[in-house]
Amino acid sequence: MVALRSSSQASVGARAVLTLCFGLMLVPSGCSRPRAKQSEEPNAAAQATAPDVASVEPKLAQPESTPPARQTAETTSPDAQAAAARSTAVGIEPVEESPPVGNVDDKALLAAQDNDGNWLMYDRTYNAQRHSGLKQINRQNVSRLQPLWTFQTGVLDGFECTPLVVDGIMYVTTPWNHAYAIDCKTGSQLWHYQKSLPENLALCCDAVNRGFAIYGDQLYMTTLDAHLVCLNKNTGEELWDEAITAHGENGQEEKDIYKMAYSATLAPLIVKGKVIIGISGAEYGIRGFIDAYNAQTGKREWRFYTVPAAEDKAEYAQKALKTWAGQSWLTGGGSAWVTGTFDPDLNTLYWGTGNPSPDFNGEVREGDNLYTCSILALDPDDGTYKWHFQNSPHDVWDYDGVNTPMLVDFEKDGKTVKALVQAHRNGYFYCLNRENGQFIYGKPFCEVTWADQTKGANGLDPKTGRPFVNPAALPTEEGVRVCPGAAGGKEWNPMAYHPGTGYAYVPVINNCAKFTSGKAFFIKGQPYWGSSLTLIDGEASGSFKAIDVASGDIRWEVKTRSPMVAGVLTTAGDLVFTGDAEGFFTAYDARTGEDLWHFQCGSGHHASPITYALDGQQYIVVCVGWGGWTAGFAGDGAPWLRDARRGNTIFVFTLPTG
Amino acid sequence: MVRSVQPCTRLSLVVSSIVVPGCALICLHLNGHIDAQADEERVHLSVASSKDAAPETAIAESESAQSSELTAKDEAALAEGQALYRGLCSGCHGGMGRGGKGPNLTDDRWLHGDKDEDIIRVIKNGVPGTTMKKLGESLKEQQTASIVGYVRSLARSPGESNWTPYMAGDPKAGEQLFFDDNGKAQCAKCHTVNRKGGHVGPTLDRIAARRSPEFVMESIVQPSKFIDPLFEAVQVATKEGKVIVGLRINETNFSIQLREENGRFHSFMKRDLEEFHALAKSLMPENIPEQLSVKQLHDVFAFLMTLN
Repeated sequence: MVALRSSSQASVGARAVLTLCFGLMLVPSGCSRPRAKQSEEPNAAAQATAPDVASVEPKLAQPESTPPARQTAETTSPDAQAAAARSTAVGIEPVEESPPVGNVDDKALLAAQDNDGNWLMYDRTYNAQRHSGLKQINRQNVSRLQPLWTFQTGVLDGFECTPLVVDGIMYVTTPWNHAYAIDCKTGSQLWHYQKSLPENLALCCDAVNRGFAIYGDQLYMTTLDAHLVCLNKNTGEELWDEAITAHGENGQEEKDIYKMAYSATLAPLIVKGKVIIGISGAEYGIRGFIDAYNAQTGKREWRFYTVPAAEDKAEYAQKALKTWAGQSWLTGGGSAWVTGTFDPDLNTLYWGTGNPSPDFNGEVREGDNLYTCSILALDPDDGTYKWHFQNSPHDVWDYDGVNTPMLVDFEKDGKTVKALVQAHRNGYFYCLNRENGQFIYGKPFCEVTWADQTKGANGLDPKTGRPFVNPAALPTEEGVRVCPGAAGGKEWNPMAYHPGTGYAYVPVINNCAKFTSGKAFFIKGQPYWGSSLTLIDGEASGSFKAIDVASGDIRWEVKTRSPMVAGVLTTAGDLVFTGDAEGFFTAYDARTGEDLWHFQCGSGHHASPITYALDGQQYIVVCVGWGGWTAGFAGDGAPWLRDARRGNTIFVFTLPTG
Repeated sequence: MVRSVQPCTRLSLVVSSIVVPGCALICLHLNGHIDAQADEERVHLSVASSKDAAPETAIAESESAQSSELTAKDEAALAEGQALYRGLCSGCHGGMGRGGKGPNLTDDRWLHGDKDEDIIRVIKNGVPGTTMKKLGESLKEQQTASIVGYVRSLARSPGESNWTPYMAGDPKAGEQLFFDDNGKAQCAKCHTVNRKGGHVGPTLDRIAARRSPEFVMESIVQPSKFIDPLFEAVQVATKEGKVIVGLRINETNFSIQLREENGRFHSFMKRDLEEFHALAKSLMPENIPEQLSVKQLHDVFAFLMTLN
């Protein structure tokens, strides 16, 4: 459903008619029909983890087929038989039983895509497509979806978690580093953990956490005071608590680095027995890094500084050092606060890096400021540099490059392209060759004024992807209006991909801001912004876009009243799930964007939905609770979100069973 | 109708030289200087931006030293406060202090006390259990004070201004006009002051502390110039052909709620509507300056200026 931008300029009549007839805004290029290519090539093998494309069993409902493909597998367990009987009674297909996962090992993580019953890592799979093969809930029956249980945590700040589900138990983290294990069937609490946190943390963007990683019997969570904790998954007992260290003023490795404004919020990524994390704090002049810790001992195995130091002698580091004026690298920022991705075939880890510090005053850090606002390709075994692609050299608009670098394969000119796609905060949808980092294309998915659209291809050098910066968009003392605003064209919340359509589904923020540049004063542990920004009053709205990953073209778009800042889930039921700022959780038709079902969850959405199956039944889960930095829209951009209701609740939905 | 302050709007209520039959030419300057004698009761005012009014500002400048309350020292403190505020506070409280992740600092609701010492205490100690960080160890006393000064200035006005009204008004008479349901202004039909009045427009309690004088005057004479998104009027047409105009109370992607001027509440699912759109005009009458005499206009204005 479409929320018209309620502005006087809108040609409301025509839009409203279109809106009300179709319930969505169709882009002229049209995609009311799925791409023919998809029906010829079902499951276009976008799975980075599947070496033999042809052997992959099509798991998706064909775009042209009306009813979902029938499950043919036999169910054997008594529970599953009972569920089958129950499900059949109301005309829904039972889900094939997944074998128990037991201990989550490397094999289980590599095969996560095929494990429909469980959700084993933050982005579901190493390629971060966030696509599930489950299709019991589908376009035909989703209108009957109902809440089964809710779970209230009592925590008020931004709920950004992607839950994990393993063998009928859900593992959730909340703001302020609470954590819960919950019975998937009944919503009963099995244990609660709360990290003891010091006072006076430096948290630019709310006291958030984005979820656990699981390996073996152990859960891993990063904490607001920059620790990595390991819990026993059965009891919630803390097995170890490792302080992340960093260089202090005297060059000494220090603990308690939260005093220097380091923090950690992301869900770790497990790769071959290593717990890989990135640090937060580039609004405070930290020096960013990506770390790998031994999953058993908690000892650090490698570190990659996103902002290299003078003593780093490696070639890539020396090259980067030249892109920082004077000693500015010391407080250069470049945090890495969103979970990266991994290609096992290429043995490469991909990670996005954040803004340089100070955010808005670039004069004190002349140069490209490598490797901030970049995609880094690293060797997961030792953290060695492989390649980088810097989307926003010398960023002065806080366009962190952290958004999930999703891995997809698509066919072009008869060849399989091994791509990395990213809907960047700077407003461009990027496509790179993930084997070597070469630029394939970059297209704006929202209004972009910081790059000169009259130059190159959409403001980017067609060969290298380097932007042609619009000099009139550089922040000034008086302030200059630039699009997108500092929350970007898309926030950190992950997009999702549907192999059946070839589309990535992108929650978009339409907003512009007045950026000012001013005195940059560094005070240890305090914000280091170099002035500020003001969102333009009433100018923040949103949209939800389906972008064809092969071309970067927008296939459909749903306009929304407020910025869209929640994560996305796609399923083989040809559905796309995401939530909005006003609290509605919505199921869209993956092919057309038509809204097929929605439910008011009581607070704005900023987390990412998941799905799992248990006893023959499919469930959809979403964590709800407004907050994060996006609450910042309330002041100016979208003032109707002022005093938006808060409060963390987990919702679980399923089809009624009779 | 009062809208959010526009940061760059340096308004001067200037020159309205619109000759309405029977009306005199009136010219209001930054310094309140009269160009043309206003001898007629009814006037029509318009507000021009300072850019449009460049020739007149020269006159104002010659008197600015006298009308400005700011000394050079104050200005330096304000500039320091601004730099510190922008660098340290704006990330959560917004570039103009209107809030976001952190509370609005311009709406006169102070959760931890409204005295300067309360605000200083919060800056120094932070607020435990929230993301409001302690700044006491990082700032000198005088720097903290300069932040408070700048925050106060954000709340008060969209920027420094030497504007003064054309004439002094009588707040008592203005109050009467404000609340008189049968009078020429009837402000209280839509606006509440001290819990008396309607709710079609924003509450005007402490408006003089929250908005600059010229902004308030401009809001009276040109209510549609800036409309707060929270006080937009919408028109909906149902599929049955009913057309309803009202104040939007709330809107989501799927529904819209509005209240008519007569107080009647409606809630619609958007799919049940033929059409809906926001009106470009404020619900506030545009002809108030024509309804009131110059004196009465300034009486109402003077009354509003007592609300601080």
